[in-house]
Amino acid sequence: MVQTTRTQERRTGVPTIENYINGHWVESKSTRTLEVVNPATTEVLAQVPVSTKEEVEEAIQYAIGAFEEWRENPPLTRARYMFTLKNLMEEHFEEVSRILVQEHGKTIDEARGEVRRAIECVEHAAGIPTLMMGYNAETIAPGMDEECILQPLGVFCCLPPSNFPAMIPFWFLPYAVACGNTYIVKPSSEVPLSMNKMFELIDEADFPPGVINLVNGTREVADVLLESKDLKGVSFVGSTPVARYVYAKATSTGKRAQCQGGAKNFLVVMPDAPLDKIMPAIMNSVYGCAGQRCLAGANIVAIGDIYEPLKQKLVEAAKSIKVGNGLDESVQMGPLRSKQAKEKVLSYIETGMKEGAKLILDGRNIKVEGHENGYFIGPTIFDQADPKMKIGSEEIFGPVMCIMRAKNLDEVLQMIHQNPHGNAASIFTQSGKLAREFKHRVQAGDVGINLGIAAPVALFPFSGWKESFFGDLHGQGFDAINFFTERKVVVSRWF
Amino acid sequence: MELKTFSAVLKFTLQLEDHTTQFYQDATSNDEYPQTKQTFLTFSESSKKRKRTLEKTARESVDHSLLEPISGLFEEQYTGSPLLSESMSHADVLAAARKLEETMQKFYTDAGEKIGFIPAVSRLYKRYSQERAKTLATLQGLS
Repeated sequence: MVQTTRTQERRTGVPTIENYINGHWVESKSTRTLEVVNPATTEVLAQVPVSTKEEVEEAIQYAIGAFEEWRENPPLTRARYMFTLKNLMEEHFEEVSRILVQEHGKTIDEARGEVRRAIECVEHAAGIPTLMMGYNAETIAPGMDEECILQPLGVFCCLPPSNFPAMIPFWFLPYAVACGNTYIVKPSSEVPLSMNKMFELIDEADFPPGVINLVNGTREVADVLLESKDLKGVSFVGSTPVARYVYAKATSTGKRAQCQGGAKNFLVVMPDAPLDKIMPAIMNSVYGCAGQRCLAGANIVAIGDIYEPLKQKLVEAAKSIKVGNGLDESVQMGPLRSKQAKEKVLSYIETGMKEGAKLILDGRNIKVEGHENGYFIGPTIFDQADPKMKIGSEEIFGPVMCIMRAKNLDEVLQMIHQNPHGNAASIFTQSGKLAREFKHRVQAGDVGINLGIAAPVALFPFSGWKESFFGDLHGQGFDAINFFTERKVVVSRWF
Repeated sequence: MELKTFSAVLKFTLQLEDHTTQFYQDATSNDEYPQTKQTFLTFSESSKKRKRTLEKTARESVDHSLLEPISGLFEEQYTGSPLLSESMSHADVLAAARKLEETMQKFYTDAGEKIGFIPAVSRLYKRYSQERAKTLATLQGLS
């Protein structure tokens, strides 16, 4: 099927997904829809509406209306909803995973791993009775006691990205709702189907109407949420320019904001790194999810003499990666998320060649049998790249590796710190001393020691520094509890 | 075919357990030695249980950040287990069952080492390798 512009009048024959507002599935009144396309096959899977301003404002009002009653539930009652939701997510685990593969393109292993992480956030949030406990001190003055209690604030929303559509909303939603807030999710219009399925489970979990809502659409819908004076906070994950925009807009209207931006992550390979052992981790880091992760390794920096053997092994390992349709269990890397995403990566490869880096593995002309129109790029490697080049400093968001060299740890840390991003960095070494020094000095939020993807589990915040994050509190972990509650300090005495 | 991903290994494992379940179900129809019928039924039930546990553990343990490519594991090394036929003698049935258990013990050992990046499932494979060894020992004691 030839794909024209994405926005078009509603068509028959392709389902149009609905919003979920106040406990009901609601067909949007908007006449504008966008196509949701399988990037491996280019099949149009569904249409997603660009919701109207009125529909978004209606969702906000229902969420406000549901708040007072929802917050009055004991934390243990709210936790029980989380247990129910978790069980439903387990029951439909494979179904959600397969939808995710078809809308995003990632492999079935990657999709299952993503859904697992989403479930873990729900499991963690189910501990809310303890997580939300305050603290107190008796007799702070004669006859006086003081206590600090944590209270929910109201309505929050999230604007998740297109690379982890099933997982990222759950870095925020279960914590917000378990704390007693109500919630609105606006998924990426490119990949709304897995969240649509998750909301079927949320509906089945029977949360009171208005507690959790779903509105579909694009930036226009996001702007309505950002401009609303009724929302208490926003969680965003996406590119740095948009993260900066969302943070500025949200905070200008008095909202809390946590905005995760882009990344350019360095993997440092010290001379003592055991190459055969670290190769699978580097391959997963750079090429997992076709490089479309904010934790993806991008720049591989060889320190000293390890450069030549490392380079050889990287090329050998990358060449053997099987690219194809993610539903095939034997496939190790899927397509790029969209035609635009593929074109952007191809453009960066062209730029890299013009900048003087040496293209030693070219993934541009890969052919996947039976999927000739899919948005595939094979594993690609540049040698002799430089952190000042565009390909070495900007987020490519595709399966492109840049090999660089440095003399020692000091030099590579300088390279890392000169990059405006600070999402993740990893070191591969057998020296505890070097690892500790790296851990201590590196300016990045998610640090890996002999790991290519330092993805924090639900108990920990998903960190990010410098231009990879705008805000004070991250998603997941105790940060999430603090973001979604306010402290009330009470001093009391009795006559 | 080379098994290069975790999901490919898991899918193949479940297929092998399906084969084991069916093998022992079919073996119970051998009337020559009815006292081994219960033993074969137990082995069939054990296979079903292993499959359930594998699916649950894999589902609960898979982590996108830990996935790694796999190499050196080929389906052909573990297929070709003998099929049962009605004309087979009891001795032949036992011989086929021992061969099946030897193959499966080797598979679980080999595959378990390859999927060390998902430790919970890797440990399960080690346990099942030991379980198949015990089954083999039981079969060797039968005549």
